[in-house]
Amino acid sequence: MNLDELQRRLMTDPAREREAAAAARASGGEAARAVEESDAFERLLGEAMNVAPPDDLQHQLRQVPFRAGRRERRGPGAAGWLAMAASLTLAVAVTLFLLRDAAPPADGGLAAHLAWHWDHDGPTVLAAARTGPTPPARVQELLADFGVALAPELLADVRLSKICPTPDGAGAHLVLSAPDGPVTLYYMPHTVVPASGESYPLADDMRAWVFNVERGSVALVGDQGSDLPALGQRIAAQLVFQDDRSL
Amino acid sequence: MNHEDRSRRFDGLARRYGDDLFRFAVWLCRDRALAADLVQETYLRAWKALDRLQDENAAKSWLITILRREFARTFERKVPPIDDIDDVVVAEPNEDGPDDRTERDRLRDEIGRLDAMYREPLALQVLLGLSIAEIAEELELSESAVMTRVFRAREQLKKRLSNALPGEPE
Repeated sequence: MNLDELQRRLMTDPAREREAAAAARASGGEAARAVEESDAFERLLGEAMNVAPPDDLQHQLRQVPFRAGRRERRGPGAAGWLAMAASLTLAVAVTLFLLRDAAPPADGGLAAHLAWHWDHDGPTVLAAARTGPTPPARVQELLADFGVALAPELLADVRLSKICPTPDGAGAHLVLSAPDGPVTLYYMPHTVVPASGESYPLADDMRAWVFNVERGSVALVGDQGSDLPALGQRIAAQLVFQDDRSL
Repeated sequence: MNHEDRSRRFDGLARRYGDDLFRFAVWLCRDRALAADLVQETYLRAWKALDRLQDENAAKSWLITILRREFARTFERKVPPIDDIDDVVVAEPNEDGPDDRTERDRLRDEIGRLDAMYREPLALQVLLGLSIAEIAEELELSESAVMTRVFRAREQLKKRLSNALPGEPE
């Protein structure tokens, strides 16, 4: 095999050219150097593409059957609701257990959790939300797992929705299009704050405005100029809690 | 298959392929948050269709197909324009020195700027270990077309790295 052919093969499918590479190495000279260069490049390429998955990815994937079961069982009658409640109880229990490593230390309190959560993925999620609204059905499906729905006016403002950790288990992370710019909303279904309507400073000149709702609490994250209390009042009126939720 | 067996089988697929599918999704979306959502949606669909997966050896390509279809169906239009891939990609921690990191970061930048027609087969090959024939089947291309694309992907990356030129606009 000539040098050009060897280089072409190494640039096309290097992992399957081990024999050719070994022969080239043994022959020395330019062919051996071509193999060394290819090896170094492939090593660098592998490292560059090998991005770290989120800490909680595996946990989120293990929750998928519970989410799917919740969707499938929607509306089937009392037995179905009981089964769903059992699934959700288990999901929340699993979440509480597995999110320990993804969340800040338990004794850090809400302020530490909010600071950690914003640092963890706040700006990234905000950036991803720039591109367009999440389909409303998808937002409602995600929120239904927590027994809450959004009024249509608020639903129209949601740019992105995902499950996220909260101080007390899983919650929802939304990005809303608000009059003063995009605002991040953390819905914490199991966290009730002692002082509702309190502001917490965050990195990047952001702040969180936290208030209790009918079930759990909400943290709104926006920049210092955002009128978060006014937005919070509007949102509190547009969250619809499902009566049949037993958790 | 009872629910317990089904769950065990599903957990196995999540453990075995979840992280690699996420890495592939990052290079498809060029966005970590979207990639995480895409992988979750992929596994949701996989859970629903799990009984249709007869051959466990085909699981990887089955999941890749679901992910790519889901990407084309709802995620592709949400991909933001790329400014700096480092904003959305976090490297694996390692012991390398600053020079290695710089070179790797530059390469990561350039991979992000590759046209999708080159970036996708390259990611399938490097991250998921697919052969040329498997990539050709997945992308519905001829093997020679795939060989050309992965060759050109490497060629462009090497050229841009050695010239230290900014990436060509897509």
